[in-house]
Amino acid sequence: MKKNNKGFFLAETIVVIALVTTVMAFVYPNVTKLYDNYVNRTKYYDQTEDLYVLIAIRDYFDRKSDDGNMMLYELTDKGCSEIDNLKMFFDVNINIGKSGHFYKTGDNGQTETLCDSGEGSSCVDVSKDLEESGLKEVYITGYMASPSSNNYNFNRYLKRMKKTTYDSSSYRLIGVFEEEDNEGNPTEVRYASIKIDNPNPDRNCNLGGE
Amino acid sequence: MNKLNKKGVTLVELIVSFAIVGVAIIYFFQTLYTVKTIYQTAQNQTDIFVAKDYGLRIIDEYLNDNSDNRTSIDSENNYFMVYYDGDPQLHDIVSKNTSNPCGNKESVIVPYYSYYNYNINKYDVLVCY
Repeated sequence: MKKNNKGFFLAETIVVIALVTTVMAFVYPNVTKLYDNYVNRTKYYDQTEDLYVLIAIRDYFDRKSDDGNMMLYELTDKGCSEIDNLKMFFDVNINIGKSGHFYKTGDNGQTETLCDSGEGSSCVDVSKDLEESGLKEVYITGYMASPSSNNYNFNRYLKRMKKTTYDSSSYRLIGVFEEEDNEGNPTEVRYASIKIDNPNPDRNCNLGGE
Repeated sequence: MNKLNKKGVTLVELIVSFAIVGVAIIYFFQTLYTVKTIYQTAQNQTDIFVAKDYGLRIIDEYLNDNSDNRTSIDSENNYFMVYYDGDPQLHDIVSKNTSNPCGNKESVIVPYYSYYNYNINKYDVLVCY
């Protein structure tokens, strides 16, 4: 294409503008996708108020249970012989029952009430105030583990969890929060996680690591 | 198309160029508008996020310093009010029925949960920023 000494041909100008417009046509949808990812990270992941809820849960499990043992120790005491089985998702699934108690689903599918009797013989309803927080499920996993889930959104959050330090003896407390409308339908789901120190520093082997 | 005049372009060519550039600017304007909207939203959300985090840290420290403070707050009827740009030691307990407690400042309410003495209690924190 012959070039005019004083400028460009109109055809050349059109081609340039067409190319730029084509590039922008690819960039523009990705800009909106960036916005959606930003909303997910800042609105649904690791909200500060959700982290404090998990801290309260951790403090609750740090208390002794009815038999005098620390509940968190019991929940994470899988034994050194099972270290090879702890690379994947931890099998502690704690649900918030409608009666206000914490329930743990065991390997056999049966539920077990996690209770803190406090100053009495009956089980104290310590989770009643959590109803407004939206907390529905609590998971405990090894800090160095790479858990996964069949739930797409939950799996996206699990893949995003970072390991800031190499600490194979610590654990991670993961909470799933759901907001519901007046009819009980979930409107949004949030996820948060905190690091838990090893409840048994005298353990002979490291658990929860890879 | 005729060869360009050595001293410029023809009117038709100029009009066609303006038309093509105008169409391209429409796409660019849409992107610019989206980016501006995202920036403004991010700015507002960041301010709210920082204010919430600040308020939760203040009440956490307040309640941990003295366990008697936990009983001094009627969490059902009162807010634990914190000023974001003020003295961290300056906080107040105001009734939830108080109208416009933050004055001309923006405000955000964030729930705070804490475990103490076999109970998980909820407090509503009002942050003025």
